[in-house]
Amino acid sequence: MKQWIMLAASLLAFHTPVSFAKDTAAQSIELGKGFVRAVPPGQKVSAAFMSITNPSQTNQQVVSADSPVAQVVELHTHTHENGMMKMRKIPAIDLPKGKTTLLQPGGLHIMLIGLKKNLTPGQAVPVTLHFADGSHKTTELPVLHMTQVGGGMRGQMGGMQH
Amino acid sequence: MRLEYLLAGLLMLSGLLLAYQVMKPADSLHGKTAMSQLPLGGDFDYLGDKGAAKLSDLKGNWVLLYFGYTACPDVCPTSMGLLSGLFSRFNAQESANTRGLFISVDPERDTPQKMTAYAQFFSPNILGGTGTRTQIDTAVRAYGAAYARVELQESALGYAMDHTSFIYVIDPEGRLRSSFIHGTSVEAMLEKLRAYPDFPTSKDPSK
Repeated sequence: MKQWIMLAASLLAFHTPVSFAKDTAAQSIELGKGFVRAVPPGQKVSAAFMSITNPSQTNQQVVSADSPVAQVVELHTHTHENGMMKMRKIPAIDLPKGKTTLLQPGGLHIMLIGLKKNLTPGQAVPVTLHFADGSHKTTELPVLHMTQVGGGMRGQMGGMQH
Repeated sequence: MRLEYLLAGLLMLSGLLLAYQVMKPADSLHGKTAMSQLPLGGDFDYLGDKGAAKLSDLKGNWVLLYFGYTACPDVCPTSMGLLSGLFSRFNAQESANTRGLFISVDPERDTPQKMTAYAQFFSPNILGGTGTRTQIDTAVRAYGAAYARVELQESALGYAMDHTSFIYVIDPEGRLRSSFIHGTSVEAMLEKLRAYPDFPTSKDPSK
Protein backbone atom coordinates (compact mmCIF):
# COMPACT_ATOMS: atom_id res chain seq x y z
CA MET A 1 0.00 0.00 0.00
CA LYS A 2 2.74 2.40 1.00
CA GLN A 3 4.43 1.66 -2.33
CA TRP A 4 1.27 2.55 -4.18
CA ILE A 5 1.07 5.87 -2.44
CA MET A 6 4.71 6.56 -3.24
CA LEU A 7 4.11 5.69 -6.86
CA ALA A 8 1.00 7.85 -7.08
CA ALA A 9 2.86 10.70 -5.44
CA SER A 10 5.76 10.46 -7.82
CA LEU A 11 3.44 10.26 -10.81
CA LEU A 12 1.66 13.33 -9.54
CA ALA A 13 4.95 15.16 -9.16
CA PHE A 14 5.81 14.27 -12.74
CA HIS A 15 2.61 15.69 -14.09
CA THR A 16 2.48 18.77 -11.94
CA PRO A 17 3.06 21.78 -14.12
CA VAL A 18 6.30 23.73 -13.88
CA SER A 19 5.43 25.67 -10.75
CA PHE A 20 8.15 24.14 -8.63
CA ALA A 21 10.10 21.98 -11.00
CA LYS A 22 12.79 24.16 -12.58
CA ASP A 23 13.09 23.92 -16.36
CA THR A 24 16.12 22.24 -17.77
CA ALA A 25 18.31 24.19 -20.14
CA ALA A 26 17.01 22.09 -23.02
CA GLN A 27 13.42 23.03 -22.17
CA SER A 28 14.03 26.76 -22.21
CA ILE A 29 16.79 27.24 -24.77
CA GLU A 30 15.83 27.92 -28.37
CA LEU A 31 18.10 26.96 -31.22
CA GLY A 32 17.72 29.38 -34.12
CA LYS A 33 18.79 29.37 -37.72
CA GLY A 34 22.16 28.04 -38.63
CA PHE A 35 24.20 26.13 -41.16
CA VAL A 36 27.11 23.78 -41.66
CA ARG A 37 29.77 24.69 -44.19
CA ALA A 38 30.00 22.51 -47.26
CA VAL A 39 33.59 21.38 -47.67
CA PRO A 40 35.64 20.10 -50.61
CA PRO A 41 35.46 16.31 -51.06
CA GLY A 42 37.93 14.55 -48.79
CA GLN A 43 38.18 17.52 -46.47
CA LYS A 44 38.04 16.31 -42.85
CA VAL A 45 36.90 19.37 -40.96
CA SER A 46 33.97 21.71 -41.12
CA ALA A 47 32.11 24.01 -38.80
CA ALA A 48 28.52 24.50 -37.66
CA PHE A 49 26.99 27.88 -36.86
CA MET A 50 23.66 28.89 -35.30
CA SER A 51 22.00 31.29 -32.95
CA ILE A 52 21.19 30.12 -29.42
CA THR A 53 18.63 32.02 -27.35
CA ASN A 54 18.39 31.63 -23.61
CA PRO A 55 15.10 33.29 -22.60
CA SER A 56 15.28 31.92 -19.05
CA GLN A 57 16.34 33.77 -15.93
CA THR A 58 19.34 31.49 -15.48
CA ASN A 59 22.72 31.64 -17.17
CA GLN A 60 23.39 28.46 -19.11
CA GLN A 61 26.33 26.89 -20.88
CA VAL A 62 26.92 24.58 -23.80
CA VAL A 63 29.56 22.20 -22.51
CA SER A 64 29.86 19.83 -25.45
CA ALA A 65 28.30 18.87 -28.75
CA ASP A 66 28.09 15.88 -31.01
CA SER A 67 26.97 14.98 -34.49
CA PRO A 68 26.68 11.71 -36.36
CA VAL A 69 28.68 13.16 -39.29
CA ALA A 70 31.90 13.71 -37.33
CA GLN A 71 34.14 11.59 -35.16
CA VAL A 72 34.88 14.45 -32.82
CA VAL A 73 32.93 17.63 -32.19
CA GLU A 74 34.53 20.51 -30.32
CA LEU A 75 33.59 24.01 -29.22
CA HIS A 76 35.88 26.60 -30.75
CA THR A 77 36.25 30.32 -31.00
CA HIS A 78 38.23 32.74 -33.10
CA THR A 79 39.98 35.83 -32.02
CA HIS A 80 41.58 38.42 -34.24
CA GLU A 81 44.67 39.93 -32.67
CA ASN A 82 47.12 42.21 -34.49
CA GLY A 83 45.99 40.88 -37.81
CA MET A 84 46.49 37.27 -36.73
CA MET A 85 43.47 34.98 -36.88
CA LYS A 86 43.58 32.61 -33.94
CA MET A 87 41.38 29.58 -33.48
CA ARG A 88 41.14 28.00 -30.04
CA LYS A 89 39.24 25.18 -28.43
CA ILE A 90 37.12 26.38 -25.52
CA PRO A 91 35.60 24.33 -22.65
CA ALA A 92 32.14 25.90 -22.87
CA ILE A 93 30.01 28.47 -24.65
CA ASP A 94 28.29 30.82 -22.22
CA LEU A 95 24.60 31.48 -22.80
CA PRO A 96 23.77 34.53 -20.67
CA LYS A 97 20.18 34.71 -19.39
CA GLY A 98 17.81 36.63 -21.62
CA LYS A 99 20.33 36.84 -24.45
CA THR A 100 20.92 35.38 -27.89
CA THR A 101 24.40 34.05 -28.48
CA LEU A 102 25.57 33.91 -32.08
CA LEU A 103 27.80 31.18 -33.38
CA GLN A 104 28.96 32.75 -36.63
CA PRO A 105 31.90 32.94 -39.01
CA GLY A 106 34.80 34.73 -37.41
CA GLY A 107 33.72 33.90 -33.88
CA LEU A 108 32.24 31.02 -31.90
CA HIS A 109 31.61 27.82 -33.81
CA ILE A 110 31.07 24.12 -33.40
CA MET A 111 33.95 22.36 -35.05
CA LEU A 112 33.29 19.06 -36.78
CA ILE A 113 36.49 17.02 -36.93
CA GLY A 114 37.00 13.74 -38.75
CA LEU A 115 34.05 13.97 -41.11
CA LYS A 116 32.59 10.55 -41.85
CA LYS A 117 31.12 11.64 -45.17
CA ASN A 118 31.31 14.47 -47.64
CA LEU A 119 29.07 17.36 -46.75
CA THR A 120 27.26 18.60 -49.82
CA PRO A 121 24.80 21.46 -50.09
CA GLY A 122 21.22 20.37 -49.50
CA GLN A 123 22.01 17.82 -46.80
CA ALA A 124 20.72 18.29 -43.27
CA VAL A 125 23.19 17.64 -40.45
CA PRO A 126 21.93 16.85 -36.93
CA VAL A 127 23.91 18.59 -34.21
CA THR A 128 23.25 17.94 -30.51
CA LEU A 129 24.21 20.47 -27.88
CA HIS A 130 24.81 19.32 -24.31
CA PHE A 131 24.16 21.85 -21.57
CA ALA A 132 25.81 22.25 -18.18
CA ASP A 133 22.77 20.86 -16.34
CA GLY A 134 23.03 17.58 -18.23
CA SER A 135 20.14 18.19 -20.61
CA HIS A 136 20.61 18.26 -24.36
CA LYS A 137 18.92 19.49 -27.49
CA THR A 138 19.26 18.50 -31.13
CA THR A 139 18.80 20.62 -34.21
CA GLU A 140 19.18 19.93 -37.92
CA LEU A 141 21.30 22.36 -39.87
CA PRO A 142 21.41 22.71 -43.66
CA VAL A 143 24.73 22.32 -45.45
CA LEU A 144 25.53 25.51 -47.35
CA HIS A 145 28.24 26.27 -49.85
CA MET A 146 30.43 29.18 -48.79
CA THR A 147 29.14 31.31 -51.63
CA GLN A 148 25.62 30.89 -50.20
CA VAL A 149 26.91 32.03 -46.85
CA GLY A 150 28.69 35.11 -48.14
CA GLY A 151 31.15 37.00 -46.03
CA GLY A 152 29.06 36.87 -42.90
CA MET A 153 31.72 38.78 -41.03
CA ARG A 154 29.41 41.20 -39.29
CA GLY A 155 30.20 41.35 -35.62
CA GLN A 156 33.61 39.94 -36.34
CA MET A 157 35.52 42.93 -35.10
CA GLY A 158 34.11 43.57 -31.68
CA GLY A 159 33.34 41.93 -28.37
CA MET A 160 34.63 38.49 -28.99
CA GLN A 161 34.66 35.96 -26.24
CA HIS A 162 37.83 34.25 -25.35
CA MET B 1 61.45 66.66 -5.40
CA ARG B 2 62.92 68.07 -8.57
CA LEU B 3 65.03 64.97 -8.96
CA GLU B 4 61.84 62.91 -8.99
CA TYR B 5 60.46 64.98 -11.87
CA LEU B 6 63.71 64.54 -13.73
CA LEU B 7 63.63 60.78 -13.18
CA ALA B 8 60.02 60.56 -14.28
CA GLY B 9 60.89 62.54 -17.39
CA LEU B 10 63.80 60.25 -18.17
CA LEU B 11 61.61 57.21 -17.70
CA MET B 12 59.01 58.56 -20.10
CA LEU B 13 61.70 59.39 -22.62
CA SER B 14 63.15 55.90 -22.45
CA GLY B 15 59.66 54.49 -22.79
CA LEU B 16 59.12 56.48 -25.96
CA LEU B 17 62.46 55.36 -27.33
CA LEU B 18 61.57 51.76 -26.59
CA ALA B 19 58.20 52.17 -28.28
CA TYR B 20 59.96 53.59 -31.32
CA GLN B 21 62.36 50.65 -31.38
CA VAL B 22 59.44 48.22 -31.28
CA MET B 23 57.30 49.96 -33.86
CA LYS B 24 59.88 51.36 -36.27
CA PRO B 25 59.31 50.64 -39.97
CA ALA B 26 61.76 47.73 -40.06
CA ASP B 27 59.06 45.69 -38.33
CA SER B 28 56.40 46.56 -40.86
CA LEU B 29 56.77 43.27 -42.64
CA HIS B 30 54.63 41.63 -40.05
CA GLY B 31 50.92 41.46 -39.69
CA LYS B 32 49.17 44.59 -38.61
CA THR B 33 51.47 47.20 -40.05
CA ALA B 34 51.30 45.53 -43.44
CA MET B 35 47.95 47.22 -43.89
CA SER B 36 49.31 50.73 -43.76
CA GLN B 37 52.57 50.06 -45.52
CA LEU B 38 52.55 47.69 -48.45
CA PRO B 39 55.29 45.06 -48.28
CA LEU B 40 57.54 44.39 -51.26
CA GLY B 41 55.94 41.21 -52.50
CA GLY B 42 57.73 39.71 -55.49
CA ASP B 43 58.27 36.32 -57.05
CA PHE B 44 58.51 33.14 -54.96
CA ASP B 45 58.82 29.40 -55.40
CA TYR B 46 56.14 26.97 -54.30
CA LEU B 47 54.92 23.44 -54.97
CA GLY B 48 51.89 23.09 -57.20
CA ASP B 49 50.13 19.90 -58.25
CA LYS B 50 52.60 19.53 -61.13
CA GLY B 51 55.65 20.03 -58.94
CA ALA B 52 57.96 23.04 -58.67
CA ALA B 53 56.19 26.27 -59.55
CA LYS B 54 56.73 29.99 -59.30
CA LEU B 55 54.40 32.90 -58.89
CA SER B 56 55.97 34.32 -62.07
CA ASP B 57 54.58 31.32 -64.02
CA LEU B 58 51.33 33.28 -63.80
CA LYS B 59 52.83 36.42 -65.30
CA GLY B 60 50.37 38.18 -67.57
CA ASN B 61 47.55 37.47 -65.13
CA TRP B 62 46.34 39.40 -62.17
CA VAL B 63 46.87 37.13 -59.17
CA LEU B 64 44.87 37.15 -55.95
CA LEU B 65 47.15 35.49 -53.42
CA TYR B 66 46.10 34.03 -50.08
CA PHE B 67 48.01 32.22 -47.31
CA GLY B 68 46.12 29.77 -45.11
CA TYR B 69 45.60 26.03 -44.54
CA THR B 70 42.84 23.51 -45.13
CA ALA B 71 42.29 22.34 -41.53
CA CYS B 72 41.10 25.89 -40.95
CA PRO B 73 37.32 25.50 -40.63
CA ASP B 74 36.26 29.07 -40.86
CA VAL B 75 38.67 31.87 -41.72
CA CYS B 76 40.15 30.26 -44.85
CA PRO B 77 36.86 28.97 -46.28
CA THR B 78 35.38 32.41 -45.68
CA SER B 79 38.20 33.99 -47.69
CA MET B 80 37.99 31.33 -50.39
CA GLY B 81 34.21 31.77 -50.48
CA LEU B 82 34.68 35.49 -51.05
CA LEU B 83 37.23 34.82 -53.80
CA SER B 84 34.84 32.35 -55.36
CA GLY B 85 32.10 34.98 -55.20
CA LEU B 86 34.44 37.50 -56.81
CA PHE B 87 35.27 35.16 -59.68
CA SER B 88 31.60 34.51 -60.26
CA ARG B 89 31.06 38.26 -60.64
CA PHE B 90 33.90 38.75 -63.14
CA ASN B 91 33.05 39.23 -66.79
CA ALA B 92 34.69 36.89 -69.31
CA GLN B 93 37.69 39.11 -69.87
CA GLU B 94 38.33 39.62 -66.17
CA SER B 95 38.05 35.89 -65.55
CA ALA B 96 40.41 35.07 -68.36
CA ASN B 97 43.05 37.39 -66.94
CA THR B 98 42.81 36.69 -63.21
CA ARG B 99 43.89 33.71 -61.09
CA GLY B 100 43.55 32.98 -57.41
CA LEU B 101 46.44 31.29 -55.61
CA PHE B 102 45.95 29.62 -52.23
CA ILE B 103 49.27 28.73 -50.56
CA SER B 104 49.19 26.53 -47.46
CA VAL B 105 51.41 27.39 -44.52
CA ASP B 106 50.74 23.87 -43.17
CA PRO B 107 52.72 21.56 -45.48
CA GLU B 108 52.64 18.75 -42.88
CA ARG B 109 48.93 18.27 -43.49
CA ASP B 110 48.46 19.87 -46.89
CA THR B 111 49.95 18.35 -50.01
CA PRO B 112 49.97 20.28 -53.31
CA GLN B 113 47.28 17.87 -54.60
CA LYS B 114 45.08 18.47 -51.59
CA MET B 115 45.52 22.21 -51.99
CA THR B 116 44.61 22.02 -55.66
CA ALA B 117 41.45 20.02 -54.95
CA TYR B 118 40.53 22.41 -52.16
CA ALA B 119 41.07 25.53 -54.27
CA GLN B 120 39.23 24.13 -57.29
CA PHE B 121 36.22 23.40 -55.12
CA PHE B 122 35.78 27.16 -54.86
CA SER B 123 36.60 28.12 -58.42
CA PRO B 124 38.39 26.56 -61.39
CA ASN B 125 40.32 29.84 -61.50
CA ILE B 126 41.93 29.28 -58.11
CA LEU B 127 45.17 27.32 -57.94
CA GLY B 128 46.46 25.63 -54.83
CA GLY B 129 49.94 24.92 -53.56
CA THR B 130 52.27 24.72 -50.63
CA GLY B 131 56.04 24.46 -50.35
CA THR B 132 59.01 23.55 -48.26
CA ARG B 133 59.19 25.39 -44.98
CA THR B 134 61.87 27.67 -46.49
CA GLN B 135 59.79 28.43 -49.56
CA ILE B 136 56.74 29.20 -47.46
CA ASP B 137 58.67 31.42 -45.07
CA THR B 138 60.26 33.34 -47.95
CA ALA B 139 56.89 33.99 -49.58
CA VAL B 140 55.13 34.83 -46.32
CA ARG B 141 57.86 37.29 -45.35
CA ALA B 142 57.88 38.97 -48.77
CA TYR B 143 54.17 39.70 -48.51
CA GLY B 144 54.17 40.82 -44.90
CA ALA B 145 52.03 37.88 -43.91
CA ALA B 146 52.68 35.87 -40.75
CA TYR B 147 51.80 32.53 -39.25
CA ALA B 148 52.55 30.54 -36.12
CA ARG B 149 51.95 26.93 -35.24
CA VAL B 150 50.03 26.61 -31.98
CA GLU B 151 49.50 23.34 -30.11
CA LEU B 152 45.84 22.97 -29.17
CA GLN B 153 45.44 21.45 -25.73
CA GLU B 154 43.12 18.43 -25.74
CA SER B 155 41.85 19.10 -29.25
CA ALA B 156 41.53 16.36 -31.82
CA LEU B 157 43.05 18.80 -34.29
CA GLY B 158 46.41 18.57 -32.55
CA TYR B 159 47.51 21.99 -33.64
CA ALA B 160 46.24 25.07 -35.40
CA MET B 161 48.02 27.67 -37.45
CA ASP B 162 47.48 31.24 -36.35
CA HIS B 163 47.79 33.30 -39.48
CA THR B 164 47.14 36.63 -41.09
CA SER B 165 44.25 36.66 -43.52
CA PHE B 166 44.78 39.05 -46.42
CA ILE B 167 44.12 38.67 -50.13
CA TYR B 168 47.07 40.17 -52.00
CA VAL B 169 46.52 41.78 -55.39
CA ILE B 170 49.40 41.18 -57.80
CA ASP B 171 49.40 42.74 -61.26
CA PRO B 172 50.40 41.04 -64.55
CA GLU B 173 53.99 42.28 -64.07
CA GLY B 174 54.21 40.53 -60.71
CA ARG B 175 54.03 43.70 -58.65
CA LEU B 176 52.07 43.78 -55.40
CA ARG B 177 49.43 46.48 -55.84
CA SER B 178 47.27 46.21 -52.73
CA SER B 179 45.87 43.86 -50.14
CA PHE B 180 42.34 43.25 -48.92
CA ILE B 181 41.84 42.81 -45.20
CA HIS B 182 39.93 39.77 -43.97
CA GLY B 183 36.25 39.81 -44.76
CA THR B 184 36.40 42.49 -47.49
CA SER B 185 33.16 42.08 -49.42
CA VAL B 186 33.01 40.84 -53.00
CA GLU B 187 31.54 44.21 -53.96
CA ALA B 188 34.39 46.17 -52.39
CA MET B 189 37.04 43.94 -54.01
CA LEU B 190 35.37 44.24 -57.39
CA GLU B 191 35.20 48.00 -57.10
CA LYS B 192 38.85 48.30 -56.10
CA LEU B 193 40.09 46.03 -58.90
CA ARG B 194 37.99 47.75 -61.56
CA ALA B 195 39.37 51.09 -60.45
CA TYR B 196 42.85 50.06 -61.66
CA PRO B 197 43.29 51.56 -65.13
CA ASP B 198 45.21 48.47 -66.23
CA PHE B 199 42.69 45.92 -64.88
CA PRO B 200 41.13 44.22 -67.94
CA THR B 201 37.64 45.63 -67.27
CA SER B 202 38.56 49.17 -68.06
CA LYS B 203 39.46 48.23 -71.63
CA ASP B 204 36.15 46.55 -72.09
CA PRO B 205 33.43 48.29 -70.14
CA SER B 206 30.71 46.26 -71.83
CA LYS B 207 29.81 43.44 -69.54
